[in-house]
Amino acid sequence: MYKAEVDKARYRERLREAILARLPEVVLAPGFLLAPDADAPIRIRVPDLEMPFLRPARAGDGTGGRGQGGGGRPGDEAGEAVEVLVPRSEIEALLFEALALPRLEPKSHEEVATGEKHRGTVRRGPMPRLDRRRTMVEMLKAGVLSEDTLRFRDRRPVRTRVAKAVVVLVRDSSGSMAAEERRFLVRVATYWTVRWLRRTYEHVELRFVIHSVEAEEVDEERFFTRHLNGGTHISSGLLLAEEILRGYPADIWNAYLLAFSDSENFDADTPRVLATLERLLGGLAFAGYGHVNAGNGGQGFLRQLEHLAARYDHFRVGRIVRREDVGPWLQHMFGGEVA
Amino acid sequence: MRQRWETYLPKLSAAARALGLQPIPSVYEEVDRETLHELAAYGIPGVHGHWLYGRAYWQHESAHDRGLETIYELVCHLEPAVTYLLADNRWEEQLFVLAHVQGHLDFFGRNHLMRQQNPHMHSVMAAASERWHGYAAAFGAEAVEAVMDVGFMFLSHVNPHAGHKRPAETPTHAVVEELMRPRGRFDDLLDLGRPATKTDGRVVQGRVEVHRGDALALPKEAAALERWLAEQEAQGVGEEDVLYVLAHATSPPLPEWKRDILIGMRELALYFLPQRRTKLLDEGWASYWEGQLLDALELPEEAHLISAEMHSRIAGTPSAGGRLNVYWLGCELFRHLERQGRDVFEIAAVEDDQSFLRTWLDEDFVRRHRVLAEAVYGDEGKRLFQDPTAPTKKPWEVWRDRLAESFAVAPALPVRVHENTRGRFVLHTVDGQVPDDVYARRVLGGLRRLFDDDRDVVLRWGEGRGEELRA
Repeated sequence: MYKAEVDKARYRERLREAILARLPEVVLAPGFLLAPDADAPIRIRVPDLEMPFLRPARAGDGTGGRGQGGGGRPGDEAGEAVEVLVPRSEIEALLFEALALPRLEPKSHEEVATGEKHRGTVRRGPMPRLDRRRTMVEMLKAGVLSEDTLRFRDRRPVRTRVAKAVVVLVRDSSGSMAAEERRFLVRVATYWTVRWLRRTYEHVELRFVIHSVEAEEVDEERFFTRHLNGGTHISSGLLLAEEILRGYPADIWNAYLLAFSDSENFDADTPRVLATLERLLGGLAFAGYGHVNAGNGGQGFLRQLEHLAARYDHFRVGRIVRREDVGPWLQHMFGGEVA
Repeated sequence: MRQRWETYLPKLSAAARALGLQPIPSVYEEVDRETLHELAAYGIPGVHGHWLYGRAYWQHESAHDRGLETIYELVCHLEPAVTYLLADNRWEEQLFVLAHVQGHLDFFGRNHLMRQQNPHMHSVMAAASERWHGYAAAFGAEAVEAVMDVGFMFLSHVNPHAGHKRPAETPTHAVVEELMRPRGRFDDLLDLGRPATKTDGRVVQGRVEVHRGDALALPKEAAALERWLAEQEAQGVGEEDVLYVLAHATSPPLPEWKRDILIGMRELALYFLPQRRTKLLDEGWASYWEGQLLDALELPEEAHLISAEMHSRIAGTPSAGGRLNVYWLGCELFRHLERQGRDVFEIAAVEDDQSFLRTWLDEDFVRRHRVLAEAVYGDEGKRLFQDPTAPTKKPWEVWRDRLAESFAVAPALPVRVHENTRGRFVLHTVDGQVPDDVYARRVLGGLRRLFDDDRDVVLRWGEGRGEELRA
């Protein structure tokens, strides 16, 4: 092994520790959401990674160097953090490693023709594909060069198993979910879920559903921004999801369902929610629910969901109340034994 | 098997000599990309590992993967020099790289700073690394790393003249030297211009008489003063090369193994110092000659095309990635000087980057290459010939000086050893510059772990109470 590989491993270990120490912050780094698909490096504050050296206080930095424990920048209590630029892919790898998310085992695959390759020889074929070596061997065996001794390389299509996932995201967009912060939390949780699924599946298709008492399918932009008037019938969103999933045969697609709500569902609707969920769980690879509510509302509904989750290994219910809950929520959703 | 480019080596050497170059002997080795990235991270073979090198290696790797960087070669100034070439280059590319390398090899033997490099540094480092592995076995890899950390923190402060000269003057020294100065009859006249705030006094019959400003608790006997001065020198007071003082002048001395690591890291930093001071000259010199060398060979047209393409890609534009392209600047400035009939060989021998620019960048060159200023300084560069803000210097002169200044190799925040006794280790920033709080605390923490005792470790930048940090 190269000496540099050893040192790189040591550096990456330090980086991993640093990122681990700041996990809740890292998950929320604005760079991820601002440009979800770019591979631009992300600026994150991590403790103690750069080798420090003596340098002048930055211009305009009035607090720089006021000594005897009085210094430090605001919001930097530890006084030990530095900003580093790390490629997004690097952070993601470390993050998923740190969250100890298991590798997903896709259940369904599709065979897709991905190219051709030469395998073996045949007796007929175009001259450019003549296998000179094999022809020579055959000729020597037969003692004569004839049509029968010609051998051509055979081309066969190569089929590769491609794992595909469809993710239906259902968001309660009733009046109570309109708050900026709640939408932000949903957005972050969704982002990381999708990033994580993309690590397993070559192909991930996203479908977006919003609902109040009635559901509609929307595009990604509207999913995060739109709000509807009226109360909450979560079942409407689930029923539409069920409808959508009918278009994805289970032998090819691994289906995921993620729902976010403040759980303040109409009581009369709750039995229908549970029934629909039970039905859906039969065909789903995984279903997750994010409870986005800092108040006391919706506890009854939440408890009923948790009862249901206790019976299904591939259904998880978690709370995302504050920003720092996103990391643990992900861990709760996808950690452990989910296959 | 003999590579095609190898057959051109003798011709290339002959062409170099015919043009007046004297490349030092080199061995040539083709390596894969990983090895080249590794060598680029450490600088020379044999260096003891540290995660900072791992990061550099990783940065080379990822810059390469994203298409931002290609390393074609690495030439180590050793004896003999070692030229590492990337194995998967085409032979035409390899030939171009070799022509470029001849410039480096000549520069190593020609430039007065490069000639000071210890050409056996790889052996020195390999032997050191072997000892340090022993320390790691005895005291733990973490402990070795912690000492190396301090080495890295003060790497930019090294000075080849540390210990060989009088310590740089501290305010205290200035006062003492003033006191010790023999007085003549007319000194009172000379003293008239001196500011009254400065400590004033003289040595009369072996005793120090201080008239005013006696803020410094100085010995009162002249002999004691001499002893005091010698003591200060022995403690490295006034020294800016912190690693030198840590390795050689702390009281009590650090454990032998810590000193060994600090000395080794300082040696390595001193080895690279000439390179850091001549980056522009070295790359400019190599880019200036590469085309001339290849022109002297009889090559297939294809090879000429490839080398022209590579030259223009590397040295063809004033800015590279938004920063000044040193290949371009050095090469163009040498061409400019050649057109003026200057002795470029002499210039390559005696200058460093800073003096090269300050001495030889003239108005004609700046006018010819306004694009340079604009590329690097944007709108500010456009005003270069109009802006009347500097009355004593022409704008282009101001700009030239600033450009030269940007090539200065100096620590970001120079410090001097202010006190170095059993109980106290005090650094003082030069010119009272205020340090960055966060980094300074961590540096002091590093020193604290290095000493591993109860001495005060302090960084000061003024005389007031609030103007210091403690570990």
